[in-house]
Amino acid sequence: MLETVSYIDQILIYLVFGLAANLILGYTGVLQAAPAAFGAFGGYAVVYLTSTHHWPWILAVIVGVAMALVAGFLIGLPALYLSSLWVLLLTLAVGLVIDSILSGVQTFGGDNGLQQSSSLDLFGFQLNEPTQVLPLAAVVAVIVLAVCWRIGESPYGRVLRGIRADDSAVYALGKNVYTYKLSMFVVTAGLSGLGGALLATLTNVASPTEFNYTASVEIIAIVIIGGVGNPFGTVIGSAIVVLLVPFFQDVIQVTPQTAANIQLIGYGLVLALVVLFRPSGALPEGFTISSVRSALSRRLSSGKQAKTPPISEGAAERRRARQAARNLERVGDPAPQGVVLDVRDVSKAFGGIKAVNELSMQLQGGKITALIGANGAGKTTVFNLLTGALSLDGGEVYLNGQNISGLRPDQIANLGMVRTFQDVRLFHGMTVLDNVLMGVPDQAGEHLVPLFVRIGKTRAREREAQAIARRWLEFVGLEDFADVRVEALGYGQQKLVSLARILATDARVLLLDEPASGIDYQFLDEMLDVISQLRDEGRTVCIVEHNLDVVGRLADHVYFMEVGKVTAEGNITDLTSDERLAEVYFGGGS
Amino acid sequence: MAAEVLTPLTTTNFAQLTANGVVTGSSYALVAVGFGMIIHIAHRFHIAYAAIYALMAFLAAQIQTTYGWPFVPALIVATVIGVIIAVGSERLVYSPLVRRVGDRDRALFPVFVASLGLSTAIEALINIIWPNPVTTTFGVSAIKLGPVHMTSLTVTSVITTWVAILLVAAVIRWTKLGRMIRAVRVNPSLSVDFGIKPSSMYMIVFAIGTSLGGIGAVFLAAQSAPESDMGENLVLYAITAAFIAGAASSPWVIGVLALAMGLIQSWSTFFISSTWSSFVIFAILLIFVMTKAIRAVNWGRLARGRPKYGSGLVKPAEPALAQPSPEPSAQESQQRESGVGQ
Repeated sequence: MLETVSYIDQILIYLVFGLAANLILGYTGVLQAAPAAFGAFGGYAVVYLTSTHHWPWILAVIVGVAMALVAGFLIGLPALYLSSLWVLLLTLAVGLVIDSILSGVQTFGGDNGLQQSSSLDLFGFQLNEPTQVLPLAAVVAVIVLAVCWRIGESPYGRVLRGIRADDSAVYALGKNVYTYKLSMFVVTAGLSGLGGALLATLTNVASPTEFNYTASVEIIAIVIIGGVGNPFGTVIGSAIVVLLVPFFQDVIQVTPQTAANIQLIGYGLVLALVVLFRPSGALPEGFTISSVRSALSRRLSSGKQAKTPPISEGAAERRRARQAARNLERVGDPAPQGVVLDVRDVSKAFGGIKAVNELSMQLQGGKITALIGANGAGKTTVFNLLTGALSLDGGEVYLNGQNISGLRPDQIANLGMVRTFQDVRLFHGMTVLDNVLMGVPDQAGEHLVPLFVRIGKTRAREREAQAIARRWLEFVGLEDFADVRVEALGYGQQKLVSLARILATDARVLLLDEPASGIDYQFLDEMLDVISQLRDEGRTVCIVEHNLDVVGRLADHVYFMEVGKVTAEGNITDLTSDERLAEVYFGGGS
Repeated sequence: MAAEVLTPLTTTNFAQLTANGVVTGSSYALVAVGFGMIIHIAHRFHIAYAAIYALMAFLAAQIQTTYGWPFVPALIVATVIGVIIAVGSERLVYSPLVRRVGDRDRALFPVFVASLGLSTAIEALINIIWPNPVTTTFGVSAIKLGPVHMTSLTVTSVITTWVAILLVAAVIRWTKLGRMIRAVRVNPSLSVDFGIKPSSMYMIVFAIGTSLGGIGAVFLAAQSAPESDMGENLVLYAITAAFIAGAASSPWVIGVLALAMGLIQSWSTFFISSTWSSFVIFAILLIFVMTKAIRAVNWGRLARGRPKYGSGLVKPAEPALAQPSPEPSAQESQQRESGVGQ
């Protein structure tokens, strides 16, 4: 009986560890390779402070969690500027150093760790036996589960999933990816510290083996087996990993040593097989009881009709788009007059190659400007420089008179200039609606404090954001596809979603990188209609485009780029009639 | 914990510890070059290298114990089995994962997790198969070089190590196969246009990398009884050497860095207890990556902070459309859903 309770305790405690790790690994996609290591702060604080200094248990836990939070902040602060591989390495190194320190410092008891020598209690409730720890572990696990579920299923969690899918695209929509990653890194560290404190309370010992590399592997296994990005899956993962030992020991009747090894073989192989054959784990992301219920009710209400929209790229859609466009109420600012974006002598070199060389150009308010040139002329690099994705080597960029040189992509987006990408870069694994919602600014639910403190406001703002996103989907003619995952759409439709996504930001300056490339003719008219309407609405648009027919139909003014410089400007007729430019562009005459 | 005893700093001790450092550093070098090739060329975070390394040591010892084979044939057979498992992991696990994810950099984490799984399973399997110690036998004779005491085993292992590393470096530098491997490292997609098959190159890299580990593992098993986790720290040292050296480095550069780590560890016992020897290397790794991280921080941008709405001439973002439409009613939603596809 006592053993059974102890296993339940372990499941609940490893659930805390697993949920914490799921936030950073599963939702955010940051490769934290040592999730157990931060547990050491909580575990050692509890045993050391209660045994040696006779602190109250709760105070020791608070200190342990605070230390884990501070450690997480100090490590995450620089680490999250690195690429995934280096974050993996750094966290691995942190885990190893913590393990070495715990094993080497005598104060921490060396390899054997610290033994609990005091009686523990929380407000008079004893915490010395597994049965006494059970209610506490259950309450903490449920609270952590609720917190993680709230984070994961909220607009905040949507941003985290976006970061996991494509962090630079999230930056470009005006969200500070770094802050999100750092917040989750710190929260994960703190929750792991809490898990460590509970584990040490249960086992009455804080030893390196509970928080070392092998322990981290167990926690990663819990996340992967349970389901990446699904907190309820972590419950399953935790139960599977913890119960493998008693299963082999008691059911198959092997020695404890062999049972431990079989457990390792079991979850090692399961880990590899899950990653290989069922990457979504036991419970896939978004799989909850309510999602199953709503899917069932949809199926029942629609009878034997198709459950998801067919991915047709036909006339009906185009009609809907035009209808939506006609219904659009044009409001907002009147078309801005004069120069909205002023680019002055910007330069960028990669090694010895000058990709952009003292380039100057201006975007007139309420007009469509095109940037054309042969492949490799540096057009996309210009967009990267204007939006802060690349830093300037020289020159300045003014947006509505404000110098935006050196600002981050999210800062520039928030000042009103956003871009699409040549390769679309939608957030795969998310629905069309969620992709567009990522563009809607000022969402209360995208910040941690209001998410928990101002729940009503968060809900109201989410409803507003959904309405905005749906209307932009209607604008581009994809409202029927709102609940479809973006990867299921055709390429042309994906380009329209990426356009709806930046329109939802309500930025007034739009940089569109090859909006017409690679899409079918049936979608081309659609796209051109939409872009023309944006101009009519008073937005300032700059397109990079190879299709001169598209440029001719859309652009009010054209810049011609050659090897990083603007060498000509005017209307498309003037430029294409210039023999030299035609030769440069078409490589031997048109 | 044992009392901390430091080695007195004398000329004799320095020479002896230097020799010891060369021996341990050479064993690190083999793993560093082998693992480094796999991570730098194939971009696979093949952490299971550690478990396969241990498996090869146990296999060689078992072959010698059971069949009485000489050292070299046992080494070859154990290494071949290790290579088959490593190449099989690449062919059956890592490569399909990368294909599914579509990009080898984005597949980093799935590959790492799958490799962790394999590593955990293989190590536990070793513990079940070999509950008792087995050792490789090697005709050992004492060698005295001035004040330094060594054995024929350690001298042979050092010489074999560096011959193997320089051989691999020469193949990579001067042969057609080496050019193909370098091409795949720099740009696998482009190398396809030149008739090179990246998947084949990766398998060759796994084979070479694992073979180097096999040599090191079997020699190490002859010096002391192998343990299932014997490769773990070595792989972590290898990671340190491989990443400090950088992706474009020649194998011998990675090897020399790993050798330096062995020397640093050995010399560190003059100043700190040997229980901290692993910490020294992990601290080097941590300091190196942390320095890289701190240099990556754009302090200027951090200090500048976030601009407030209204600081420029752009209005705060508001819904572009006149009135935010109310949340669609359940009926509307239902109509949309049922109307889909009609």
